[in-house]
Amino acid sequence: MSKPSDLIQGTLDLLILKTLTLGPQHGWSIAQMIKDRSEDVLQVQQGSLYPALHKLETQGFIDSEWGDSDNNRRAKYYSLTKKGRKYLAEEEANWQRLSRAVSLVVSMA
Amino acid sequence: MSWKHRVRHMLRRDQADVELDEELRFHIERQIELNIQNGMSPAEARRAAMLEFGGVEALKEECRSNRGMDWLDTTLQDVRYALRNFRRTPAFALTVIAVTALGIGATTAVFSVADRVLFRPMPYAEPDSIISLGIRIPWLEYDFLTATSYRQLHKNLAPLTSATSWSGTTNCDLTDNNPLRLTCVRVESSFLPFFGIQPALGRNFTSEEDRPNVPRVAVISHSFWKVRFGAQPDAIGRTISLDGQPVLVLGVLPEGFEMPTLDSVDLLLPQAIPPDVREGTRPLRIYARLPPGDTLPRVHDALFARAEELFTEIPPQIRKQVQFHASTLRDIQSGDLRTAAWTLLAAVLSMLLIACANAANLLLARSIARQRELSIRAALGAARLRLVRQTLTETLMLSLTGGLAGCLLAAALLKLFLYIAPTGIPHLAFAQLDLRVLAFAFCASLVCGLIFTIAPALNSPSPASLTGFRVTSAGGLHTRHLLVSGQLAVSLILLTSAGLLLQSLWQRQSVGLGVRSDHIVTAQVALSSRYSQPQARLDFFNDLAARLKRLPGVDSVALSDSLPPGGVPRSQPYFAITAEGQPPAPQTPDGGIVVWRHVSPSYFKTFGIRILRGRPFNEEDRAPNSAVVILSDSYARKLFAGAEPLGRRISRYPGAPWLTVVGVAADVRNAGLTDHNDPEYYMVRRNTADDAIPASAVILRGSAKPEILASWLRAEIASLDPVLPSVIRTFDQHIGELATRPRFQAMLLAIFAAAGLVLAASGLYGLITFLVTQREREIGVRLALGASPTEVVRLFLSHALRWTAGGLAFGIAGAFLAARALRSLLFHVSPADPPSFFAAAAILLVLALLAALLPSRRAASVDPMTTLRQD
Repeated sequence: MSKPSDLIQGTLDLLILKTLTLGPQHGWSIAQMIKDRSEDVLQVQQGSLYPALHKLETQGFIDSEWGDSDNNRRAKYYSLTKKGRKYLAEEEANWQRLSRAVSLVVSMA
Repeated sequence: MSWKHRVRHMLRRDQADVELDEELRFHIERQIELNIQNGMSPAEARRAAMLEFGGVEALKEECRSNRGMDWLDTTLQDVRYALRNFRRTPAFALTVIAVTALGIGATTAVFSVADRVLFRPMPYAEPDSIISLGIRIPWLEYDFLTATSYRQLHKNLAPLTSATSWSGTTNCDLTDNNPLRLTCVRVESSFLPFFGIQPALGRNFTSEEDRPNVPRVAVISHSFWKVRFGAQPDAIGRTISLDGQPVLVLGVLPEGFEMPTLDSVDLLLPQAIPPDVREGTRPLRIYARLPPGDTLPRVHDALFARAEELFTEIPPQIRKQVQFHASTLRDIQSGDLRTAAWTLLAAVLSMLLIACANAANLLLARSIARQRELSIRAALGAARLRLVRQTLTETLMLSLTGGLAGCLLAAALLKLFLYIAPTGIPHLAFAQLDLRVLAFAFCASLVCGLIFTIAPALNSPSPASLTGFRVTSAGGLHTRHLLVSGQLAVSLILLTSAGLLLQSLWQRQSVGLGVRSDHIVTAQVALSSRYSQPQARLDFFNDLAARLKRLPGVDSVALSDSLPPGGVPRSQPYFAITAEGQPPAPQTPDGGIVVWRHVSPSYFKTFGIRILRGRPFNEEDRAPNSAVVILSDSYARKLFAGAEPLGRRISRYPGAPWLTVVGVAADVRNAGLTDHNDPEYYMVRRNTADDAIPASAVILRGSAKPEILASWLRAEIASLDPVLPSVIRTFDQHIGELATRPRFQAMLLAIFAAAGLVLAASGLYGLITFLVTQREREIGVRLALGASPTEVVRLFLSHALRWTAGGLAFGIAGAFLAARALRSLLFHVSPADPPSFFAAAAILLVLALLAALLPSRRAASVDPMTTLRQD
């Protein structure tokens, strides 16, 4: 199982940003969503998730807002900013290139 | 990471922390809910969630640091912590700041003076391409060309690109209703443009105005403009009366203007070289420019090849004596002044070093005392880097505060320097604390701060100090010994140098002048052009002398054209004088010079100069047709090779009338306060037009108080001519002024040596005190076991003695080198002068022992019962 620290540098940012394209989420649901989508392969540790969220916020790629969660408790919702979308597009392209390159090498006869 | 973000976070830091808490709590609760849904018991669900979450505090810290305000926050925290520390031990912080301030203050003040002399570019356009060139004659201290040669040079400048001329400084008198003695300089109209200088106000004179027989014009200096015209712009176009002639003011020089020779100057007047060069024989001093990028050695050959054509006007008989000479402006300006500036700068840098070492020692002592605290903090998880950072913040705060206080001190010191400095030191008046100097102070503080930090870091806390066992850290002590020995060594160097300079000063002032200097008042008077008739000049001085002689309390009055030991004695090459019946002197360039003075008969009596043979001048000698001369003892010996000089005749230059030697006077110092002395002869001031010298000194000897004599002298001159400027001084003042610059240098160095000595001694005192405190328990044990207090004192004194001996050894070696560098400033003192070295070493040794004795005695009075019960 991959631990987040094994993720290629910057991949966590990509995962978070991609998850947020579905709409504003709070931290816990971001972690859950990544876990579900990756069929339990990627388990984002809180110790990495929150620092990453705060960093992305400081960098201006995401924005945060306090809102009510489904069970009527206050939660901090993160949403993509315009700058974040642009950054995501770049990072996605990078990732595609990189993963294609890696799989080319790995699938070498 | 935008600043806005950072600031917002900083302002709302507490709120951000609260929000982070809430966010993380929400996360954990959701996890617990999920775990319960998955069938765990509430307690189990909570435990699992917490486990999965990991260290909350570390996570929070990371979030905070990712918010991008880490360093700012940490620094603020460090500063707060440092301030708390300083408040706890204010005496320590104040001592470090005071020591640093003293060092940086003195260094900054001296740097601001030395900066002007050593490092600032000369205030001219492309100063490095400027050279001075001309013919060098042994008895003139400058190079010159005749007007003809200069014209010749101008016809074809190669390999030079431009040239201009001036004629040295002369005295001139402002003869308006408020008479003033001024310094005038005659310069060509191309002079200011050549140096790239624009008048601050008005304009330079044109080449049309730089001709003879046109209305006279002048460009005035900035300070003269301020003094005379109150810095009013309407000074331009005003007419002043200079030596009785109207002169139109055309412009004002910029404030920082200085002559290439650093002479002070009040007015620039046109050179006015006559078109018919046969009239213009005044020597012209030439400045020329090399082609851009060229250096003097490279154009040397091309330049000297042209020397021959420039010599055409020199009479063949002295052709052998003259040499063509060229030197760069930078070389002309350097010299003693630069040595002096370097000396002072080195002296204060040494003092700064001592001060830094002292402060470093204090910090080191404290860091040893704080070792346990640091160990505890390290054990509680403070990163090592974080601890170093904290120490660095603390020391930098100390050194920068010290630097700030130092700048204030420097401003005060600079005022003091300007107050006590003689006027003759160029640039000093312009010294100020500007940005460059402040930048220097800032760098000095930073360097101090680094020394402060590095010294304790050499002695890092060991885990052993956690045990609570009192350890005497040997490593730290080694560093401290070195620092103390180094301080002592540097202060010994300072002390020896100061001693050498002070001794030179004393030698200089007690040098045998050959005249009696007490009870003498002199007035230097230069008659203006209103006295154009020779008879008027003779009458003025004869009247003045007669009036003065009648006053009660005046013993004798004499007239001379110059005053010993310097003045502006007239001189001529030695070989030009022919002695009857003696072979002519060889015509060599280094044949030396002969000085002469025109004196009244009472000159010898007034100055107390002994007549060794023959007689002094008498009143009959003043008859227009008399031809007598008095030789100085050394000259008589040299000229007549030991034969009887009385009654022999000499001729001053080829074709001059013969003068009969009527007396031989004792030697009088005549080349300033230096070792050198030239042969001299005296001519009598006859009542003829030839001897009607306009610039003369009146010498008054009287039993009345010098101040009273001076006031009489002033009153008598004023009653003869109320608008005549004169310089009235006692003869001792006159001598004193010749030594002002050496005195200033010696005094400054002595101040620094004293300050350095105090700092070094206090450093030693501090170290021994620290050692005694650290070893209190050991001393207690020793005393309890029967050691006598004397033995304890001896123990610490032997430590002190060892470090002092080390300091002395290095100090003497350093002082030896320093003294060699100082050689050009010394007078009658050898650089290896044993008394100076011994005295300095003795002073240092006594002071060091004294500094060590006080805390050592405290060690002896330790009460064993108290110390042994302490832990």
